[in-house]
Amino acid sequence: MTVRTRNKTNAPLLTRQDVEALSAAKNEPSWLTEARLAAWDLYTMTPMPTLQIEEWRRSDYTTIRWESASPIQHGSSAGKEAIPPETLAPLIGEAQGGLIAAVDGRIVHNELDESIRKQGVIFTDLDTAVREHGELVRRNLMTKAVKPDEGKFASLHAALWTHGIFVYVPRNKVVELPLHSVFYNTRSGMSLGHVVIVLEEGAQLTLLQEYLSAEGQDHMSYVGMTELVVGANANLRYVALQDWARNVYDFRHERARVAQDGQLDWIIGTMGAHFTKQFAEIEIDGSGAWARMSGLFFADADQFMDHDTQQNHNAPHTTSDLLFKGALKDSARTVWQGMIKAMPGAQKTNGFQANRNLLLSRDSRADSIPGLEILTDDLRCTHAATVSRLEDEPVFYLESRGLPKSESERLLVLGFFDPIMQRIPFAEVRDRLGAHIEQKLAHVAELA
Amino acid sequence: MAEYVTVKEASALKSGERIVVEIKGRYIAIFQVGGTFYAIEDLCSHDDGPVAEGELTGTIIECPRHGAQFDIRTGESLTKVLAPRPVPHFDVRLLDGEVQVLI
Repeated sequence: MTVRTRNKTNAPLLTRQDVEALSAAKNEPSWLTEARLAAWDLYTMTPMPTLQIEEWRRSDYTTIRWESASPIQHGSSAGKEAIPPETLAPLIGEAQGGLIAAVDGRIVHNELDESIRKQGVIFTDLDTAVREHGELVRRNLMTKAVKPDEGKFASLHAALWTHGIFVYVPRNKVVELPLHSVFYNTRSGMSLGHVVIVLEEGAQLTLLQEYLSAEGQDHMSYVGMTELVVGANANLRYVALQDWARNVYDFRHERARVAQDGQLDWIIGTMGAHFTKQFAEIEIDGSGAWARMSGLFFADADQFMDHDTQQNHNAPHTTSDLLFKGALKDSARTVWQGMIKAMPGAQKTNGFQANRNLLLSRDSRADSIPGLEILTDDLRCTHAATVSRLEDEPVFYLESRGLPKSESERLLVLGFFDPIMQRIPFAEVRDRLGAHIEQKLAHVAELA
Repeated sequence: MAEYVTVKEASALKSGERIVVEIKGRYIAIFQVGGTFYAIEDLCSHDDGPVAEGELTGTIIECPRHGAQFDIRTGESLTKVLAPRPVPHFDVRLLDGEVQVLI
């Protein structure tokens, strides 16, 4: 048994040479190498987050073993066959609009339906996009949504991102079939994935992003970034599901920008990893824009999940609607911190946020911290947070209809998640997620 | 499965001193008071902060963040309004001069 003294300042074991080596191995243009090195300088000047910083005060990641979680993943011998086949199944019937799969930071599959390609849609991995659409990538990569100076892990990502997807839908193009991207890992080390989605005016897209990994003992870190840029009158439905194995520490910065009359439907599912720290933010920039963020999480054993959300209303006549629902069992801990901010001039804003937590064990703990920052008048903003156990009365009602207690509880938990599940537009994915929830619940039933 | 884990660094503790170590992914604070060793989890039951950074008076530790107090012998909270729940505590034994924590 290893005993280690507490080290409050432990940081990834990386150097500037790692940045230079990665950029050289990818044979990147000079603008990108320079951007990586500038981000590295920023990284070295930024201290590691500690419990003294408000947004990190509940998120103690220092149990991570950077010796195994630092080496940058450059790919491995594992290919597409490493990914569970049900993950790669078409999202709707037999139809697949496009699929990109990355294993250990290396792209192993990259496919886009010809009819979508003919529309001028770009759906490719980030390295290819840098080579073939350099200017477009340069204009959108960490310039509009998330920037390298937003925190230690943002600058680390900007310096060392290993792989990613780049999606671009031209003006008024509607992508009928959903696109699908899977980031999969088989080994320890550090993987830094990036998602960029840009919808021009009037464009429409649905995309599913999945994060998974094989079981492992040594710690792995994922330092990710997601950028969603929704143009005027465009419509993006983005579903991101995380189901890492329990040796993973996940650090992520994600932000969407929604322009005038644009619509964003963002669904976040968190089931895996040992430690999750996710900043997910929406900037509502144009009047008439609408954005919805739905979150679903289920933590068990000693999992820790922290979702920090922000809904920024930067224009009048805008709507944002956030609902996060989570269940916890064993000694799991979760945190949700949310903020709605209405900037000066953002009159007629409608902002909603709610977080509902269901505790299924005595030792689990959910912290829920809603917030409003209103800098204008004539608007409507609401927030709500609850932490509760399963109520006796509905359990008793179901038992009175002949169901055993464990089955009654199972149904009530599934019912608790159902409103969010129904927002996932793919039946197969809903089934997979439902099965996973049932798997986590089975253990509760055994204890009951 | 709980087992006794040897914490070598703890043997050198003087009375009133403490050390925080990581065992099985949890931070455990080990104290020596008057020749006896005690161990609690370094996690305040009020807000999950590092309770062992606080001031120790006898066997009472006071969390530096909000002042919740716990008895390190049992983990029991002495400020139940602030922290209704105890902090987990662990059995400690001395075997051949080595400090061992049951975790």
